[in-house]
Amino acid sequence: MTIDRVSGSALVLLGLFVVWERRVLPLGTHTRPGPGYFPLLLSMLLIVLGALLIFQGGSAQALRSLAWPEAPHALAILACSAFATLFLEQIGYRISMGIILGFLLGVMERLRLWLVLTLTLGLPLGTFWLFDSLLRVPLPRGAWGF
Amino acid sequence: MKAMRGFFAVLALVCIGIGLLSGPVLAEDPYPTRPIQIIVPFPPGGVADLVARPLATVLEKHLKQPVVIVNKTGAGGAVGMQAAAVSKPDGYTLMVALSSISVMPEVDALFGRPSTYKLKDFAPIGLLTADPTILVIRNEAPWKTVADFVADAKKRPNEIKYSSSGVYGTMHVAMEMFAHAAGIKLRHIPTGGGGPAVTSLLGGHVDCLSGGPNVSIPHLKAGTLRVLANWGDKRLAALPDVPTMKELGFKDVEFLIWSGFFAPVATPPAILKTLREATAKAVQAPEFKSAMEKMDTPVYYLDAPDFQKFWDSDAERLVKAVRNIGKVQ
Amino acid sequence: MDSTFQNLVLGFSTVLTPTNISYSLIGCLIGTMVGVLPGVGPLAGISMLLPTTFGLDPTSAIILLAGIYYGAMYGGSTTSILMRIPGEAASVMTCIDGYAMAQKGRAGAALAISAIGSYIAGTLSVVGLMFLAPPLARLALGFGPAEYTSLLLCGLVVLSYMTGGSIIKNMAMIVLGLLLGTIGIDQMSGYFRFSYGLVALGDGIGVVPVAVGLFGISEILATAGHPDTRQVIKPTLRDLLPTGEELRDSAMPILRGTVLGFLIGIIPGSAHIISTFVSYAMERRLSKHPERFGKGAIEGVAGPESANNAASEGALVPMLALGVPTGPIPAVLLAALMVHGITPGPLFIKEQPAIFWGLIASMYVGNVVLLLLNLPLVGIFVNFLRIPYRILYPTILLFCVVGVYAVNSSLVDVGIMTAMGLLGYLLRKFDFETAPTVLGVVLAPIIEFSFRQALAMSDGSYAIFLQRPISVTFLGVGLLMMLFGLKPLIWRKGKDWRDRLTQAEKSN
Repeated sequence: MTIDRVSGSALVLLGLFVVWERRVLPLGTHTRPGPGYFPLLLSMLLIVLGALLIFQGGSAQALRSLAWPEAPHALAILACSAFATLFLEQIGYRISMGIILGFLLGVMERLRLWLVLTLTLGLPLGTFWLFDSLLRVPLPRGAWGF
Repeated sequence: MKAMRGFFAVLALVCIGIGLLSGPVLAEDPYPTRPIQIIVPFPPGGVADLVARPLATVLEKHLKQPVVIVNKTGAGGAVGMQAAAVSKPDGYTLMVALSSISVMPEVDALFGRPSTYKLKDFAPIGLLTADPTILVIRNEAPWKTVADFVADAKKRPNEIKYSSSGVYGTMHVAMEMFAHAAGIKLRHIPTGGGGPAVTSLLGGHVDCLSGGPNVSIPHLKAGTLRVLANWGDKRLAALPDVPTMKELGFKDVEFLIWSGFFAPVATPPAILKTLREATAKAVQAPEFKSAMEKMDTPVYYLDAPDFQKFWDSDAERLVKAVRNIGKVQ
Repeated sequence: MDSTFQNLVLGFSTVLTPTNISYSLIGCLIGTMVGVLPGVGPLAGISMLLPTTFGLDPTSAIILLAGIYYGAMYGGSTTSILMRIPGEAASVMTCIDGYAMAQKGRAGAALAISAIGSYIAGTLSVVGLMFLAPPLARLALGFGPAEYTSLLLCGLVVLSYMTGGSIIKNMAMIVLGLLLGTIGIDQMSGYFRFSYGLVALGDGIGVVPVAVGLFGISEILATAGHPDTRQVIKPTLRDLLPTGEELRDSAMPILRGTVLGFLIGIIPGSAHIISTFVSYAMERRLSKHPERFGKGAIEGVAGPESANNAASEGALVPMLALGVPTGPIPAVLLAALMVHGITPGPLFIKEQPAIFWGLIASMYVGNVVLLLLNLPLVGIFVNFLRIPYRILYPTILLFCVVGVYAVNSSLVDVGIMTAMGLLGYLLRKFDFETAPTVLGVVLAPIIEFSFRQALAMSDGSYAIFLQRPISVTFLGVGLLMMLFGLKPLIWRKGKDWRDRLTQAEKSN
């Protein structure tokens, strides 16, 4: 099981998914392509390429040899980013960012307390001022106005 | 000791009582007390944006709070309009939108998808500008009047091409309204926006278009483009020789690109009244008027009740036109 | 020639007043700042300051806004080189070789060459703008949907040279990007494609979240917490300056990038990012050692950066000469002028010479200002690399979130960035290149739309592609290039450059 075989299969699956999803879009004709025309073309290409990868994939790196040492940190960062996506507008920019920075700097990295506090307070407040007041790009204020 | 505790308990209760009672009284702060956001569902530099920004500057003076423009673009304006429709109706989130607001729920219905907002989600505050679209052709084109154009179109149906800012956009609907009334069939070439549509005409890739006057006027002055008709109910001051569609016999072919100021429908009436008064004063302000005139988009103000009537009749016309167009593919 | 010189003198006299110079300076400063922030590009910067320009006189207003515009192009390369995060979408290509150079300790050289290349490109483009504006603009108008499609198809063939490694994988990435680009409203029919009820996806996925996610976020995902974290590089003065060899190597890429970028920029509707991709591909194809690309080849920085700046100035040609905006940014500049009652059109240059030539002169001045500003800043920016990565990456995350959010005040964009970050991380693990995907996302709507527009114009006849001269030219060029590429398969004489490449890579 090599990485190419895995990625090839993923591509084939994605292509099939698009073909399935596209069924609601009219295809049109060759002279008047509809909205579904290009997606179908592209997904078929994707399936072909994925299949090619699977066939040729024997000589690639083995799946087992892939190392994931940075995975815990990566997950933490992704979780923070997802948290921001979901809650930034409800909790407000400054508080959400404070939480994220506090989590990353304090829990994941275990930096010294004074450094964590300075950055966790300083960066959100500072960037908020920069964007919201100085550049007049409104950043979310949260349900209770902060 | 027990008496002391009892005394303090009563005192505490009295304090809480006063606090609760005075709560609503203290909350009677006059609106507005914080910055106000105006959502513009179109990209910066577009018509809606260019009307909203001077308006915001002048409103700031009357409302004594910062008024900030937030561009929330996407889906022909649907993203920003939806955001405004579901925002808190406390008067701190408002919207400046164009006439396309009436078209989108109908298009959604046409495609059988749930509409992103309903016209009833908005309470009008005031109409700001209203420009009719004009029929623009290249200077070298053979048609001298609309009659020539219609005759030619009848001779070769589906041959004359026109560009638009996008499917079901203002330029598309306006032209189709005319085509339907005149009984002709034109070929529609959508482009990515108003600018590309004009570029397309200038480059000779299409033969005509129906668009707002402000983008075409410089080319009209330079002589590269000509105007045949105007979709308004009276002649434009800037183009006094151009007849209206009504004059030419096409009744009910009226299309105005207008911009209006809205609030979510549940906004308290007192706040709406404040906003209406501020807007009425704002459109009279010389800075606003001159900003609009410089862009060749004269101010055309209607207060909320008149605006609602205007909006309703305009929406009816647009909905009919969209239904006539049907699904393009 | 004489009148041009006189006009230029007029222009300079308008610009070289203390007020206008300070506006130019402010614009360039803000532009650089805006460019450095990930995701926030010149469009956001210009829209932020648009209201402030309402009160200024038109020349000052346009000088300020134009300063932001190309200032952002200069600044965008900074984060790309230092942290592999595109400062704005068009800086994606710089991330690849620029960051590799930074990792080898040549960050200062990369930043310096990027500034110098941008300056040369900017100045030469202004010259082009000055002399060639009206005729070029008219040529640009002749670009209709058919020409566009042929151009882009030809471009796709060129771009197959873009990255090394397996052709299959690269093609898969482009196709993936193209598929992602189909998400959103279909502009020809009004159907929503693959948007799953999220109205915000109506306009498609957007290049900025994709670029920042695929490059920036995936970078911190891959590097944070990695056991062999980067050594904190302590640059010496020698590291800050490019070596003579590097300067010599960059000369031709800069010139080629300038011409390429300028020409691509003129075409209405093309995105600047395309010029960077084509420049990179061209440099790679022309280089004697293509295997160095991707590992820190200075040509891979010099070419795209110059193309970028040249494209942004080329984009102004149709706007100034004919009043036709080539994209969202010239449209905003157009609007800024309209607010002051000035409507650029065919008569603009004749009727408002002071403003036109003032703008031209300000562009010369602006480029000088930016060069002087950016070179010393190189020393300051390089010190960013000293900050331990453990503190740096949460800050990077914060700026990425803010930058992407600020573009459209949309959390959906932040979500897309997150998803793209995860995707980019996985792609890197599985040995795929991410740049082609960004290209696909940009190209998909344009290619498909032009193709269908062309067919609509010809009422279904495919002959339109062969009937129009410009279109035929591009198709011909593309076909020739494809045949050349296939030549080794037929002739089997001598090794193809790709085989040499793979050999070189294997022996490394």
